[in-house]
Amino acid sequence: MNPFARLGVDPAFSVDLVELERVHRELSRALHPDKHAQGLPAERRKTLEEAVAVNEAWRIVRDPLRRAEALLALRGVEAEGSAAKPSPAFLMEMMERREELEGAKAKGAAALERLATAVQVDFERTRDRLAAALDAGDETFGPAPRLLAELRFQRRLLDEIASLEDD
Amino acid sequence: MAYSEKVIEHAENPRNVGTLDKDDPNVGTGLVGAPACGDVMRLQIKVGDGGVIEDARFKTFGCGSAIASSSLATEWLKGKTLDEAAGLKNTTIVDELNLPPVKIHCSVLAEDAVKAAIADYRAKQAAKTGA
Repeated sequence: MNPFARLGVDPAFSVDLVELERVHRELSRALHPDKHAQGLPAERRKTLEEAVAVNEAWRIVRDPLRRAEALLALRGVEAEGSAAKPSPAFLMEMMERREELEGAKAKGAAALERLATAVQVDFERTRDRLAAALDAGDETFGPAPRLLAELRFQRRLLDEIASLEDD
Repeated sequence: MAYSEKVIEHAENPRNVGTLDKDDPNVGTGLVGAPACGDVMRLQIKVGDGGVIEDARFKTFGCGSAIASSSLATEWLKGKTLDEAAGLKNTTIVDELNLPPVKIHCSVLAEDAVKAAIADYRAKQAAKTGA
């Protein structure tokens, strides 16, 4: 499934999230079962399937990681494998961030909060570089698979810090 | 999911956790990661005369299986020649630790780390003789 086509939005990494919400709301309203209650069973089933597909497409396009995966898949670019290997410098940085997390766990909530803020900045920087790679008009997407892998690491780390903050 | 006794044993009492001097020409450092689970693993070897691994250390941030895999790998590496070490297969780790299918990628990560450490050591040696 092409989630961009399903929603009728441009297949690009840079996306207007406000506009995306509006499109999703509009499509959902048009496909709502209440609007089709008088239809034939086969039509009602088809409308329901479409509504489910629209929701799934919306979840993909609004998430930067899944949106990047979908764009790579659309162009047939391998998102795994050797092109997706994070750089040694990045792995070093991850190692350091993980060490900082160990320290922050011992220090408490304020330290975790500071680390979360710092990693969020890292995440946004990688995301912006991924946007540049995906929307540059270069069909091969250059470093995009590697940047996507790096973004996954940062997302995982953010999730972990968030789950610790909830405790 | 239940961990095997050996995984728990290694995860609770990991062997050879630590750091070797990465700038030492006799030390090779391998740094690898798995984006899907966010695991990062650093594995280092110190190679003595005759190309025998004298010491091995690791630091892994990840699940119990990833820690156990790297812990086991460092134990196994000591006393091996570089060529023997390069032949380490992840399946050896899988068998030894009884890893379930969903955790096989942890053993692959450890194998990658060993290979990266050997490659780093060899690159350093090549640079030394080349200079």
